[in-house]
Amino acid sequence: MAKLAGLNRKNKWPYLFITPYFLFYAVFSLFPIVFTLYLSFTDWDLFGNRNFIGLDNYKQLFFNDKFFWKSMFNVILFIACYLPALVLIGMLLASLIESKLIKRKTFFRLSFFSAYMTTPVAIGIIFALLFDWQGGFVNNLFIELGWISEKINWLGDSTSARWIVIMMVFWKNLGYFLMFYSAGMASIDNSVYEAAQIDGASPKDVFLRITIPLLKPINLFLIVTTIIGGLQMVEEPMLLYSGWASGTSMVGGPDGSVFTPIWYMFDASFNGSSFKYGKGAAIAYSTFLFIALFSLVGMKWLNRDGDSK
Amino acid sequence: MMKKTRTKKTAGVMLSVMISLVLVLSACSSGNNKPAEPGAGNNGESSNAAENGNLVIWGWDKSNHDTLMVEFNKNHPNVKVEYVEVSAKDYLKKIQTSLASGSDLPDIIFAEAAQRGAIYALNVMEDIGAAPYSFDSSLLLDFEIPLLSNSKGQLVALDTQVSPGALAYKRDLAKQYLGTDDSDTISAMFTDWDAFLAKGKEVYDKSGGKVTMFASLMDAYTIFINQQTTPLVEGTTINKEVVTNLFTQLQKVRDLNNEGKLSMWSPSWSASYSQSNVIFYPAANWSPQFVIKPNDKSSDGNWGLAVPPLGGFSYGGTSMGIWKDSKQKEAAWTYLKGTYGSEEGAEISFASSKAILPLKASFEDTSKLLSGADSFFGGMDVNQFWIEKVFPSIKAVPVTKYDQDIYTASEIALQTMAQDSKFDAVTAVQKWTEELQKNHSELELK
Repeated sequence: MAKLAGLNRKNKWPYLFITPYFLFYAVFSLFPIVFTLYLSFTDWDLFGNRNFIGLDNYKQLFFNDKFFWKSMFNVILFIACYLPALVLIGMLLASLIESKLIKRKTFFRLSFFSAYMTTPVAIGIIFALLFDWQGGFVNNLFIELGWISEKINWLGDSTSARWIVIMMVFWKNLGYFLMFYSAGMASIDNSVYEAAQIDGASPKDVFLRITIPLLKPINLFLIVTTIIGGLQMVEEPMLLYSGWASGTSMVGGPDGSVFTPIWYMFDASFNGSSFKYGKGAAIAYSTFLFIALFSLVGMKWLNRDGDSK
Repeated sequence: MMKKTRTKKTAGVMLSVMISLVLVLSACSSGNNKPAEPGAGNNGESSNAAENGNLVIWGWDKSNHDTLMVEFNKNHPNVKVEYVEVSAKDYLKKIQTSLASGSDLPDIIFAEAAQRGAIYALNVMEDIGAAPYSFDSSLLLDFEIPLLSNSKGQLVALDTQVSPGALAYKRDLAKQYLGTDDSDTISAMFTDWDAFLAKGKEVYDKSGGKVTMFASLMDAYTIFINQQTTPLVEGTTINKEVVTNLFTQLQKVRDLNNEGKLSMWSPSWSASYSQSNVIFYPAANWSPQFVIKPNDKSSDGNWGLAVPPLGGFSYGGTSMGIWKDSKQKEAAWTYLKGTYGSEEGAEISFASSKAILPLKASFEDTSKLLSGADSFFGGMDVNQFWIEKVFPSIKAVPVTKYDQDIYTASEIALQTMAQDSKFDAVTAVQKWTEELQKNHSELELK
């Protein structure tokens, strides 16, 4: 009876309403997160090993595994190439679309954004077909146009493979950046621009001294989320080299040039016949550490004037 | 004080709900019932269990299996099969994720050629050479035993058919560039691979670079790797000499222009079957049905089969075993033996899909196994070719859990070798070893 009286109290409802979320969070998020951390301290594979080995997986990754560092280098290189391009071109295109020069704004916004709606799987396969060595559209087109005499193995060369991945991600995300910048620009009060024009500011000054500073919160969000997404990249390069179009799968691309940490995690745990779940978990947690580090650095850098808005 | 009590009560309610949820979820997972042992109980029960069951099988060739079951059910009407289609490519992943999560595996487990070693090493299959199955491995063709045994030497699977490998060739190109399209003459023409590759260079030069012996380095690799008599990996040691010889041979294939720089299994590789730029392809007895005819539909009489230098090899094929925790082991054994492990199985396999089982008894009277003249192959009796020309020279090495990753590492090394003329055998061995050691740090090159 005392318990029932307790349950009837007014404050039970908020607890009851939020309980399902916490239960699902505990079972489907918290438990896997903690269990993965535990796994990263073990040598669990499916061949009978499941021993606690402390930090051995991490020591191996950080001090003896060139594949891990190469995969980390690759994603950082990709981010360093496509992120500035996305910010710059995204902002310029958005200001062009939002300017008085463009009439059919919705059409252009949708045109760019449609690429973002395409699934990474489809993008990977489309680019694999486009750049296939023997039967690819790009090689056939260039030969028809007389630009090349021999077909180029775009996906077989480490440099061109990296550029193709950068191009894929840039092409896909440009619409996403553009939408954010368009929305941000639309939200800037017109009176600010009018005041600048009355004071004699040139269009360049308006862009550099009004638009860009006022878009800072949007830039902060886009840059941090793109860094997180970039470090987690896997679908695009994996599908490009899945063998769907080329017939031959190639883990990591030529000379590991497009290998990414999450691909490595998948490769160690599920792809081949090593089933190294402990190592895969350690790669996942190490990637998380890098994501946290880069996100923090990105936020600090963008907020270096002390303005956290 | 009141506040503390209330908090405790709320925490108690939440804890109870969580425990209930955990218990419900636990109940959803697989049970821990002890699997049934074949032969357990009295004879009546045993016989009953052997002839009654609804087995779960994961596989990728349902149509052929359905035909086989029609024949099998004539003798065992109450052994039914629920066939769950799983692609060959995803099979190992499905097995491992089920195993890691503690879910049930199928009663009958498939193992495709490259995945055999890994699946056997997972220790999920019954030793069918031991009691109560006691299958006599001497009934099998000798080269089959290492392909069906795990690293402990236990026989854990049976093959669904023999998979002999040889060379398929285009007769018009062979006549033009080799001077003959006769199978026996071509088989006798090349005493070793050096002679074959030297001829390949002549063909390339004579055709102005348009015609090559093979479509890709992986085509040549497929033959070389399956002709090995010493395993590439023994225990945790990579045999440096064997791997170096393999890649040296492949470098020769590239340097002497014996390959067409296509990617094996790619659309352009498939299209080359109906074009006039490649003479030879590795072919197994399943290749005509699944590879050659679908890729060269309009052809009639332009294909032939020949024995490669150093003889035939085992190419592909699928084996099957019984899940060690199956609750229907007796029915599973009735199925496995009745389809692939007995004369009864040999008869119904041949009757349903012309598949030949690797049982010595099947070869006592080979006249029953002939397939007749095949106009697609210029009137050859294809089965006669496999039985008389290829089987006598087949050898096989033990499967290992590294086989699939060896294949992947080789694909990567050969892709680079095909396009980079400076990428030689020594570099290939180094890259190949690094790739293999990436997830198998226990391996050592010696």
